[in-house]
Amino acid sequence: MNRSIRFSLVGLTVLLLPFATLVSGQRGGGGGHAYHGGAQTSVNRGSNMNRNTNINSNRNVNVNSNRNVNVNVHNDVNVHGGYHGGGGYYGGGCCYHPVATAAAVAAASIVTAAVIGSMVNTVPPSCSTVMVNGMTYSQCGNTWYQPQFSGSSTTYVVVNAPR
Amino acid sequence: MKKHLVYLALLILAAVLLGTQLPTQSVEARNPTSPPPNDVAVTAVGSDIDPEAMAALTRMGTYLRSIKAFQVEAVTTRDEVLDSGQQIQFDSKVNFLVRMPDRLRIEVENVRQHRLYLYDGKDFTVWAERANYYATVPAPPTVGKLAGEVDDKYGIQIPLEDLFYWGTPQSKEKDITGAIDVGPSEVGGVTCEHYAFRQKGLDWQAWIQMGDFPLPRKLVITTLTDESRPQYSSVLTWNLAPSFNDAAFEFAPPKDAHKIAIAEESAPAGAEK
Repeated sequence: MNRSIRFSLVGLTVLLLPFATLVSGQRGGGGGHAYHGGAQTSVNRGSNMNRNTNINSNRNVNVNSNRNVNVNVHNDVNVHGGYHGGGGYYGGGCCYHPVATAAAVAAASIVTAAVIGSMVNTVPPSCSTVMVNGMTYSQCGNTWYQPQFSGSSTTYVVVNAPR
Repeated sequence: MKKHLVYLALLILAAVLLGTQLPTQSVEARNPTSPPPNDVAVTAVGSDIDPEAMAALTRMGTYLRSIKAFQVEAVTTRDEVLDSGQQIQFDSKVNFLVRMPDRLRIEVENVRQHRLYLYDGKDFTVWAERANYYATVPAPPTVGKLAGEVDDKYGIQIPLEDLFYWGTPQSKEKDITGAIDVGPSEVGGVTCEHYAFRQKGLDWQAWIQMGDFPLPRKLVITTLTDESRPQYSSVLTWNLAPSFNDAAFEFAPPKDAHKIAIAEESAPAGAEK
């Protein structure tokens, strides 16, 4: 009995691994640092005040540090209180980093790395770009992402498999 | 008896609180037009406006609007603020090519992004070079309207958008509550006059080229609504005789480039299009 539970956990982990590993627990990331705003860039338009174009400089989230039996329970999915548009680093491509979505919160305690409607800044390098019916998707195992621009940043929204 | 003591304590507390607030109030009293300070106690004391400084700003705006085509290379820095209040500065290189009123090409390069923005009077395209994704949306008919629209609609901030606002009705010159002529200065070997302005929530400085070509050579904007007072700065190098053709403003998708959507600001995050 115990064994079967352990097996299923291992199975789940293996399933989750393709989707990268760890969702950064802190707002913002970047080694756990959270950005809450930045300098306004125009004196003739007030509307961009406190809008942050570069929230998530998540460069050093642990890569594959949980390559073990522990299933990653995402009860720490972060919310940016209305700030979006994190310019995640592309260099690392290690992990993905959630940015604010209501869906991510709603699904906070669900044991899955791919909540439909949740949004991340980067996808693992193993994902492949796939065109389906003229739309661009990023497929990572059984998880499908739809890339989009959020402000000047690219983000990926988890969507249902398109076919 | 005990009750009396409590009242006394409250009274003293109130007096102390009042006392600490007095200086702020007296500062405000000198400048009754300024709004009450919000979360940060920054009150514009200097309501002094040097008419010469304002005239210089107007001259710069008028001159900017007289230029039909220009190229600007800018080095910008933008402070971002951590929740702790600590500031982190990021640099960008910006290359602008503008043909008024309806052509724009901007390349922005920093450690996190490499973006190309193209506008041909009809469509606005953003291309993310590293991911090789691009998106194209219909655009308003002029550069002046473009910056506001892509910001409002898509949250894309065109860098140095002020260059398109000065000298137009969109300029917020009338919001300026303080204007100082700091004196002569130099930016990148060019002689400038240094001015400092205040308006609600912002202190900003402009280094304007002296002589017949009053171009902004440097800008610094300090955000006062954040107690860390983050700054945005840019140093501009101008080319008033750029060479280009129409193709410079049109997007030819590179091989393997993929078209994606742009999330609209009002739409809930993650909404599919």
